[in-house]
Amino acid sequence: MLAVPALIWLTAFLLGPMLLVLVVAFLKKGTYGGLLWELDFTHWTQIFNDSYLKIMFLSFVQAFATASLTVAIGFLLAWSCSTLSGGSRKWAIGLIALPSFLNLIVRIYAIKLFVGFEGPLQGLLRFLRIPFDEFYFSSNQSVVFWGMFSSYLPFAFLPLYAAMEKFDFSLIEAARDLGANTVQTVFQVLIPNLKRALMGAFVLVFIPSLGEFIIPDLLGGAKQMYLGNLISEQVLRARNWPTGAALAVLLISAMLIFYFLGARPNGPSSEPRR
Amino acid sequence: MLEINNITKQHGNQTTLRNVQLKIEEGEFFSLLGPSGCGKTTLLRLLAGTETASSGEVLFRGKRIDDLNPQERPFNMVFQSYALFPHLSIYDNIAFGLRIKSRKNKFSESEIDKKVEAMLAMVHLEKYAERMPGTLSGGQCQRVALARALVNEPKVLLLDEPLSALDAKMREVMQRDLRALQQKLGITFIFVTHDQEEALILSDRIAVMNQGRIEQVCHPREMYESPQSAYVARFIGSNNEIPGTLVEDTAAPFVTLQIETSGVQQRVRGQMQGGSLNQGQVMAFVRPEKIDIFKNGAATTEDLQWTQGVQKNRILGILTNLVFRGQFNDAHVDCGNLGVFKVIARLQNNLEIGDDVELVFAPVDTFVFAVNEIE
Repeated sequence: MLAVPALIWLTAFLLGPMLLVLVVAFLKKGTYGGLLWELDFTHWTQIFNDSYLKIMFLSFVQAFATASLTVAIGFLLAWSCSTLSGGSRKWAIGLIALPSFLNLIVRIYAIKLFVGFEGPLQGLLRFLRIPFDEFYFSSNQSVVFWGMFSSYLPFAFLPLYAAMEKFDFSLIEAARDLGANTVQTVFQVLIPNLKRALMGAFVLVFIPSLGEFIIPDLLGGAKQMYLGNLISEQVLRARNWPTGAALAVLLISAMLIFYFLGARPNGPSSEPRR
Repeated sequence: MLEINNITKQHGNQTTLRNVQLKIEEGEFFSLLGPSGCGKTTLLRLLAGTETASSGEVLFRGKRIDDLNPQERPFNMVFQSYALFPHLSIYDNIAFGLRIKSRKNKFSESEIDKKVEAMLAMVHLEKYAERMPGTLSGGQCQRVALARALVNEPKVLLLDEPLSALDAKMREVMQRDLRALQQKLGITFIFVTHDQEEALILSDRIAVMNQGRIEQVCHPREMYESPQSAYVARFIGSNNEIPGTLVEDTAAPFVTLQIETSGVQQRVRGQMQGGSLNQGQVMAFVRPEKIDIFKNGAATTEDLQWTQGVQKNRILGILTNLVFRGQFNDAHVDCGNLGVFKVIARLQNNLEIGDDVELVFAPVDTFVFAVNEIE
């Protein structure tokens, strides 16, 4: 009984829209946008063309790279935070989480300004008399990646930190005592015991970054398109709702697959029992 | 074999170890005993290498080891929380150290298997090899932790309150097993505990620690029968305390103190412990089982004489409580301004609550400490 409001909420605002997208994905596009209530599959074959497949592949690579790097750096940050003492720990966590309190657009523009023509980065390069191409930074893949990384880092850091805080650090002492060096301790004790949190953090970053379109749009300019951009382009500019919906269905299916692969690792429970 | 020279440890402005000086012999069961916060665990971690000293040195068989990493020391540790790896089976937990070392020492899988099986047999856990640590009881986890440390054949085994998480019955079993194991293997055990009874039962020698200092190092019996400081006397076993002032007397080797009982001046003789003192405020300690209790006036001259010419100490009081425990009984005796004395004694002549009684104890069982040493 207590779950009823939540179920109503989920049906109205999550399941409903999702079903709508699924239905739209199989309808025919109207001549001037809009929808015709006729079953149509032609756009389903169209979306698997070479340039779209390339975009999908690149989106996948981008999301994978973002998730890997945020989890790796988030892991190191979480580890060092959990070894700090109370006061400085609070500060460190605050500083890491702080950017996510700001509006995404503001944050992205801050990066844009930082690397832009009059920004401090170019100023520094000029000051150091290092020759560079002024247009290099204005719409560049690495800047997109930087934007993705900095936006998603807290999403990887927080679950890892939560897991690390519960981690029994005497296990590390035990490993050292039994002769393990730092690398052996990390790979044979720390990572296996935090497997669940690592997978969770990876999925938490990978899924939204697969559909990300604001960051590539603002930082990447028109140089490279990702799956998210493609969908927004189809829906908002080309007014081709069925194609956009088909792409969205594809994206959601991919996410679901990764969710079930990532969030449910096989084997015995990796949660430490105390 | 293991020498701890002048070790001091500071955490910020807090000193956890002060000039600790210890020598631990080969094959000894050595206990570090003290209340929480006395520095015993810090000292153990310092030996393990998970903590570094601010000054001083640790020598093992004549070689300095305090600058070595934990993995380079021939020591292994059993942790208070067991610290078993939850993602590994019991077998893999025990094999962990051997597999880590296998690159250097070239243990083959079959050698590892043989050693692990032997360890499992030693701690009676053969059937549990494939189980995960989360499915074992506390006592079983403790055995695994022990096996995991001992399989590496350490020269010294460090144990950090390994029995404190077990229930009383299990603890007793483990105490017996631990002692038997140590005697069988002949490895030096360094055992940290806050439980004085446990230390007395298990150890060859005990070091009592207080606020980062070693108070006394000796055999358990000596610790009980001849405490060198008031702190040790209070920490090991229980005591009745009698405040008084030292007065001149010719009762060597004993000292005499003047005490006041219900307004009457009286003298008590005892042994001065930990240094000599001729005058000043002192405190005398008597253990409950060293006191004989008589109905007032019922004690014979023989009861009252310790040796030729030396009388036993006598204090009067009223019996306020009596707990029957069979062969021995717990008695509480109100001695006026000296407070209530605890006495464990074979009771004579059917004493009853409310009786006037006389407490009699020998000077040799009366330990005297300077008051300034107590606080």
